[in-house]
Amino acid sequence: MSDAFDKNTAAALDLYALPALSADFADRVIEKANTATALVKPPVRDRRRRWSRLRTLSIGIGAFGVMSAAAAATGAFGDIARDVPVIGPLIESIAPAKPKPVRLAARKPSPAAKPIEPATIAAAEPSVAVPIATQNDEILREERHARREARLGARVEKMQARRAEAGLPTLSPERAVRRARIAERQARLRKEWNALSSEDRTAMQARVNERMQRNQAQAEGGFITRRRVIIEELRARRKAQMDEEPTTTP
Amino acid sequence: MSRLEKPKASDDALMREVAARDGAAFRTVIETFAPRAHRIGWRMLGNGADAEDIAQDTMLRLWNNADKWQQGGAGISAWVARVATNLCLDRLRRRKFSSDEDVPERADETPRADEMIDEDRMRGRTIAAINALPDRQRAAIILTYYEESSNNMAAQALEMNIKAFESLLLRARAALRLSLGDAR
Repeated sequence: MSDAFDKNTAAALDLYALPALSADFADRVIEKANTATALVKPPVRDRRRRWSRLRTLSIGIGAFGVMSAAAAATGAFGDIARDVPVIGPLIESIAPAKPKPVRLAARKPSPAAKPIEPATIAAAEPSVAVPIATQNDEILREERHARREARLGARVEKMQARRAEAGLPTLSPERAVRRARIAERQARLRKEWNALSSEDRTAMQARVNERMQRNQAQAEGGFITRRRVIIEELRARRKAQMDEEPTTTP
Repeated sequence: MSRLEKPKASDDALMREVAARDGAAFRTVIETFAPRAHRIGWRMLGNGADAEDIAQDTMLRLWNNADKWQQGGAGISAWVARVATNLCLDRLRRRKFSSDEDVPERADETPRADEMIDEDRMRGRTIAAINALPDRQRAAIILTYYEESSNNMAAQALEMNIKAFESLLLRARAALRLSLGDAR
């Protein structure tokens, strides 16, 4: 059979003869093959898998939709999400849009504030889109500002009236507002001071004294000292001049 | 390419019919090619029951994979030799790792020499010598000598390159010659 083996080896190998396959071998294999074919790919299993896949897909889509709507309702997308056709109305039903910020600067001022209008009320800023999350703070700020301006106007009016009664000239609006602001700040500080307990007042007084001394020490040799020296020199010089000048009175 | 492995034009046509689940065509394939798988199984595993299992598994694989048959390939015979050889090697590997019994001596599976007349004694020695070879060397001898496969086809069946197979075959022949020489 093969040239690679010597004659004796080949003769020995040829002795290894085998019996034939059993006669019904083919029948048995064909029977097994038919059985195996009948068991391949049962349709029920495929359908079940398809439904399972469909269910997983629909749960995924649903979860994604709910998460997107929740994120949009909390303002994660700003106002953009409200313009989306399907999600917009859904968000509107969950969280209605807050009213746009009121332009308080354009509100009609009270009659008391009328004389100082040019100086106290700034020109209305152009309206800028404010994020929903900060709208409440913005409104509160605007209201506080309007109240403060009205109070300031009343104080200016009273101050000008007092000056007129005393025969003093009325101040320019800018100066009157500046003085009114200073007076308001003093009044607020006085109110806070009166609200303090005696211990707190003592402690605060001590802190103020300490700060004054510290500032004074820092100013020694500086501008304040030089200023004081110059003033003293001028005073001395004037006094000397006055002493030297002869009296013109007869 | 050997006479047994020469692909015929009819192989592809036959496999097309098998793929179309033609029982008569499959019977023809079994009657033509199952003996080869049976021979390989017997000589590799050493007994008739395992050899029939190998032949049956090979034929069922051919049936189940008929739709993937590549036209113009090496032919059914080469395919059967490759699949049967690998099934045998798998079975031998599993047998070595799964059995908790001692592997019986190869000589024990053969007829006792002193009970044999000359030819039978020599046949027993031959079987013992073949069975004593390592699995892959035994496969190389069976494919090239008994199944008349070319070295190239046998190398493909064992998934080796040709040089490695020739080296394996050389060692197998030397071992067999030595073993049979001692017997004589």
